[in-house]
Amino acid sequence: MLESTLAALQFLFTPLGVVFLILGVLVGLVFGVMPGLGGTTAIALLMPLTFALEANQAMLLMGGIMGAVSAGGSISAILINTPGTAPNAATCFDGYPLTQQGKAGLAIGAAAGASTIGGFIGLFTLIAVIPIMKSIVLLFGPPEYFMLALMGLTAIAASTGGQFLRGLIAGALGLILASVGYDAVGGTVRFTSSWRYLSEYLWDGIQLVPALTGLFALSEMIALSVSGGTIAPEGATGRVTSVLQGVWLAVKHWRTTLQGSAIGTFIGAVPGLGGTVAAFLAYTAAMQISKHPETFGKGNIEGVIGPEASNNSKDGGSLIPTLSFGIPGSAEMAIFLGVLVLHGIEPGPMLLIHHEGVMFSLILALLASTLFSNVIVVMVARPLALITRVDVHILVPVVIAAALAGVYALRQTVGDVVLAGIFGVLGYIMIRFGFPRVTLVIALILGELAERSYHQSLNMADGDWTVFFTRTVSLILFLLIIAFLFVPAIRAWRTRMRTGASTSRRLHDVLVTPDGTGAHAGFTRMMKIIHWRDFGAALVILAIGVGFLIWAESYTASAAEVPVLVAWITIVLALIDAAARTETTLGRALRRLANAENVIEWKMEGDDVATSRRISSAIFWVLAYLAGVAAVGFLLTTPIYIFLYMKLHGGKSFLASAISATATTLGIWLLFEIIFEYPLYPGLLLGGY
Amino acid sequence: MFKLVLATAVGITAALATPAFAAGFPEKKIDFVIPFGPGGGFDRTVRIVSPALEKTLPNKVEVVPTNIAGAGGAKGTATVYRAAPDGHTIGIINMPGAAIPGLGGDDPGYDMNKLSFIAKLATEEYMLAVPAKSDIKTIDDIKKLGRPLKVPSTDFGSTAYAASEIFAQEMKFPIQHLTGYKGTNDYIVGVIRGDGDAAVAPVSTLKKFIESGDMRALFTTEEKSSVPGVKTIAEIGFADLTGLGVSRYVVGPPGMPADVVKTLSAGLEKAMTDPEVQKHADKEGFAFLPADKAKASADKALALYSKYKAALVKK
Repeated sequence: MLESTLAALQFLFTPLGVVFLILGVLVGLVFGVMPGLGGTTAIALLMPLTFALEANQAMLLMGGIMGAVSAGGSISAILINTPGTAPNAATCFDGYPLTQQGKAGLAIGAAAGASTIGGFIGLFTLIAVIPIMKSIVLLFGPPEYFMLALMGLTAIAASTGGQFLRGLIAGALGLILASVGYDAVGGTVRFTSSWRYLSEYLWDGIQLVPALTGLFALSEMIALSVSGGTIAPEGATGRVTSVLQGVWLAVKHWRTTLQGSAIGTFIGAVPGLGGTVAAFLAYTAAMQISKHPETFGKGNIEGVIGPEASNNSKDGGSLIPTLSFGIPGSAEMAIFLGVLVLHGIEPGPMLLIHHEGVMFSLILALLASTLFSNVIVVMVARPLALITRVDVHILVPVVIAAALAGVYALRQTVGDVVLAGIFGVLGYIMIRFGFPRVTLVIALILGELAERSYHQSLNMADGDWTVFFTRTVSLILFLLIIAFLFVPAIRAWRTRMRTGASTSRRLHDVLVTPDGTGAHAGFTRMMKIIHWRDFGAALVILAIGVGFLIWAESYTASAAEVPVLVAWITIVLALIDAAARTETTLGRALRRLANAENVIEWKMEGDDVATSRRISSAIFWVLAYLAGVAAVGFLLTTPIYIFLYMKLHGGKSFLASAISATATTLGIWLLFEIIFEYPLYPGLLLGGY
Repeated sequence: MFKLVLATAVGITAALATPAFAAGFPEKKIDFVIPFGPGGGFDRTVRIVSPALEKTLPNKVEVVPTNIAGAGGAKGTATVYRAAPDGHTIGIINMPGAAIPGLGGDDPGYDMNKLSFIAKLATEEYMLAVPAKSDIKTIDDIKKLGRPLKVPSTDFGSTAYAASEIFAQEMKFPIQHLTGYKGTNDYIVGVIRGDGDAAVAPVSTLKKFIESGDMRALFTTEEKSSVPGVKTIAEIGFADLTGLGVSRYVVGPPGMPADVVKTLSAGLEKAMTDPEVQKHADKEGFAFLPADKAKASADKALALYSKYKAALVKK
């Protein structure tokens, strides 16, 4: 082990070694910063280019990428509220409010600090457990996966950000979406409709990368497109100071950093859970141990530190199943295994024995990349933060075009682009109606794993459900879930006992007071809108639940079992939501109980005609771009879209619009078609599939 | 004026006549369809072979690896099936993977029997293995279990699932499939962990687990065992099942002209000897067969799997 470490070190410090590492770090940072592009895409696109490289060189390149992606992704999460990669989503919650308060430097510094420490902890844990990692992996079978998925799902209850009821509803919607497609256990294709194109596309299920890109990145772009202006409010907020102070904060809050790293390492080691879930668990855990949990979501630096520590530590964790048995711990690792095979390295139990040197090159590359990439992030934080002072109408079309091109590149499927667009609009609607997008995402990621491992467990135990409780690890996980479920409830109860007074407000107040209009005007307006605006969302959800129930019942018993349960949960939650909207004793009680007082229906400013027009316009431009891409491809549509959007929606000058349109298209073309040699979608009318 | 008309007429005739000459193929870029996304085994094979194929085909055209993912591979294959049969759209498929969806009468969007077979590129044989510590040493031991043999796999209709089902029927032992594992390594580890009793997996993958001392193989479908001490399936009395493995074929739309198939097949054959391709030959299991032999080999596999249709099709 020492020998191969030294050999790997020696190689790393050759000029060529450094070049490959830096190249990897730069690619990782760029792919990390750009929403819609991530480590998986970077590795998949670079794979054919590594044909020509030695295995060691390829490891430095890949390690460079994997170590740098999340550092890049945290920048976009903090500066423009758009996670560069899905695991950075939790960083937005407090990172973006900090930016709005003019503390972007602090947040970026803290993210970089936490992510460096996390990365090191993850990799050193990996090195420490190498002698026993096989036994660790063997501890987790289908019943344990089921419990872990369940544990992640219970995190939904904790991560609703004050919108408990609607958080649960969004979670139920996520579960519905997760059951679409081919069910590997039962062999049934579910909820894909009978239209051939749609059923062929949905066969593989709702793809995570396009869905998350839509929900997090595109929806945020639509929101910015509606609000206009700049991200940082006019004034001093563009100043980026105290980046280094932020780094220090990650050390100062060492408990949060350590906890996030531990969660990241552990979740990373469990195939199928993934970095996004790890980051959310780290975020909620950070809230649990914080002295100021009430400031989470409003710019608490601990809310940045926890998830970012988790983000980089997961790389070390996900190498545990990879090195021990050749099982990918994450989507990135799955593609990475392909790179190994390309270099004659068969992933499996002999990986570390036959290729110790190469694997240590990878670990060293990851360590070096974690450090380098975060140093670069700290150095460029200031110039990058200028982006928050750029007019959003310049930013929005560029991000949308690049994100969708990236989504296409990953699987070369135009359906993914359309899906991302649909989820973008869905995400925006969710923002407007106070549905947290996070819970939908967690459920979408874990729903499939939960259902699959549930059936797998029962199948291997010949239908005996005690299998979940008779295995030690499974039982321990179950008890942990129970603890997680009750601790927040007890804490909330104690807080309520302390503060005494209920914070519940009547629906009338919520509707009337925010924009300070008089009670009378407010009342009249309420009477006008109460009919559908109050119950609209609940009714739509109810319809979805009932429709899903009817559809689910058409499948065989085992294929229908979980979907039917999910449908009933959705229906019940929709009914509770509707009841909580009423101005009755029951409604008031429910609002208090479900912490739904501050649920907003279509926000007040939505009533303003100008805003409504901007909303329609913002959504129109996204859909128009999608239609254009589908019809005549990326390279024709992108310049026209950017130009017209900036000129017509953004009111920019002819010259500025033309320059941005040309430059962006050129950049996308260079990156995908020239550097990576992957053709962009040519359009249905021009020979696309 | 007359000259101009004449020249135009000659030009048009020439233009119309060109496609009829086989020497004209290929006229433009060739889309080499991979029915999965970038980064997998199919993708790798096509990306290794394509640059070499560009060199060995006449007319210096581009060969573009085109990923069309969806429906577990069916979408890409259906796209090839629907394309013009002029040789400019070809695809890679695996047998029996591509054949299984159609066996049950479901329409995967293509008819296996009508596809034009251009070449067979690679073959991978199977092994059946148990945990090293397992009491199962022979097929008789499986029969003596007194319960079905639990065999994990990725999903219903996967090639390993099909192979294990065929083993069970031919060797007459009851089998219970545990589906839902994410990949081959995952279900082999599932067996080591004790989720199931035995794993059916490609030789190259199982080899590593045998070498590491985690697994022990009962037999291999190879003609000549590549792992010392492991019996071939013929040696344990089931010679018919020799060569039951999974193969990768290059196919085209139905009704491709014979000369176009020949040009492509010859190009591929030469491409496979390219040093850059040969470098990957061992681990990718490259074993070339030209068009006619590829078709025969695919037909043989199809016939074999059709025999077990009842067990491979969703009830």
